[in-house]
Amino acid sequence: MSRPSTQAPGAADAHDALTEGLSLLEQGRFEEAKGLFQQVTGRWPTMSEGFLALGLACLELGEDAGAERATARAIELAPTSGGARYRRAEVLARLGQFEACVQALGAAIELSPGEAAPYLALARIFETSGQTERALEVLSGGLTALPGEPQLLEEVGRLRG
Amino acid sequence: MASRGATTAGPAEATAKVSAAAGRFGTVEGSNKPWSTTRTVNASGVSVKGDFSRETNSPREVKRIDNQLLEARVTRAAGTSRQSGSVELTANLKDGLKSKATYTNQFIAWGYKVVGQTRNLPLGLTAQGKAKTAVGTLVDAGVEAELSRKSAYVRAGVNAFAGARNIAEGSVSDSRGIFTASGNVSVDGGVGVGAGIEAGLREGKLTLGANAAAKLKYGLEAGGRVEVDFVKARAVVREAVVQGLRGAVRQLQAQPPSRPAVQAWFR
Repeated sequence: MSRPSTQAPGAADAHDALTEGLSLLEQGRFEEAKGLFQQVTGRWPTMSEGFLALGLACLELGEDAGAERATARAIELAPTSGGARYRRAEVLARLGQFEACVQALGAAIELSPGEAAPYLALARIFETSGQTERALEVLSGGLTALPGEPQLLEEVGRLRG
Repeated sequence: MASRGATTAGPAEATAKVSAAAGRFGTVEGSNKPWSTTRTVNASGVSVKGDFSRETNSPREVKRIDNQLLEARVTRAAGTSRQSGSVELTANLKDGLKSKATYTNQFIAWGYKVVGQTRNLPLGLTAQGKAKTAVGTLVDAGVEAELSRKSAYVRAGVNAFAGARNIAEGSVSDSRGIFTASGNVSVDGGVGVGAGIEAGLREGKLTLGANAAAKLKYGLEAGGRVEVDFVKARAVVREAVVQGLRGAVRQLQAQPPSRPAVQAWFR
């Protein structure tokens, strides 16, 4: 359990609490963020975003097991959330569960085809495994959904040298 | 106006055919390569006449693009400054009506290729543009393709008088379909209308359909549109995942990436 130095959300609504926690994450105050997110999930136990954010904090702290539990709960609460699948994929990658990771990214794209991040991650995984052609196919899919998306274009340019 | 007489002098393989059953306009197909000077091809009630300048020995041909489009293709030879060509066709339809369309393709002075032709650009990109009309008494069509270090665009335009429907299309793509930019505009009816479209890669960002715009001569403007095909996107990724999953997992398990490398996947 972390040592939360930030006050509990109190009367603040869940959105404000999450925003504050994400701000802490951006500042690198991971322990504080984690503590806040734990309080959020305690207060709003059916809100998937809280667990997702908690998973993020755990990832930053290198607490893979905690991240795994949090993201798994996030998906239970929001099975159609592409974002939850994406973070789950990151956790699975850190745990060395590459097959599940790739599948989670595929699911993230299925659920949220308009988000660039899952395409990028999946392409990078294929690139790392020596499958540049597959990586380009994934980026092609991304650009079909997101014509002109700068990050995807940049990645294509990088892969094609 | 094209004659309906016998085929004049020219290559024996010149062909033209029509199928008017689909609608008001005949389906016309013609091919004739190389094109020497003027040719009339007549088959099944369709006449196709091509008339190109003789400034160069560039290859020229006429062919059907789709059910309502005849394409004139001219390739500018190196060292020439300008040339033009036109194709005129008539078709006798089943209901006894005649359909006629005329194409005149002109090169820009610096010699970019015209209607239906492609221009190969760095990074494997291809710029393509075409302009078409279903029926028009006078149509000028052309396309430019240009590339700078970070910018490529293609522009196709149609100027038609008394055209029934005039369409300009432009696209930038690569052979793998990763870069795809396209846009189009159509104009129904009217006299003296013009349409143009731009699609391009500018400053590393594809600015295609969203920036595609059509400007009509009398101050009207019509925006192009971007077709976002999520179904296709998902299908592409799904196939890549299915095809690549086993190999990727095998490779990653054999040589597990470092933690920073894994983090970089999701940066």
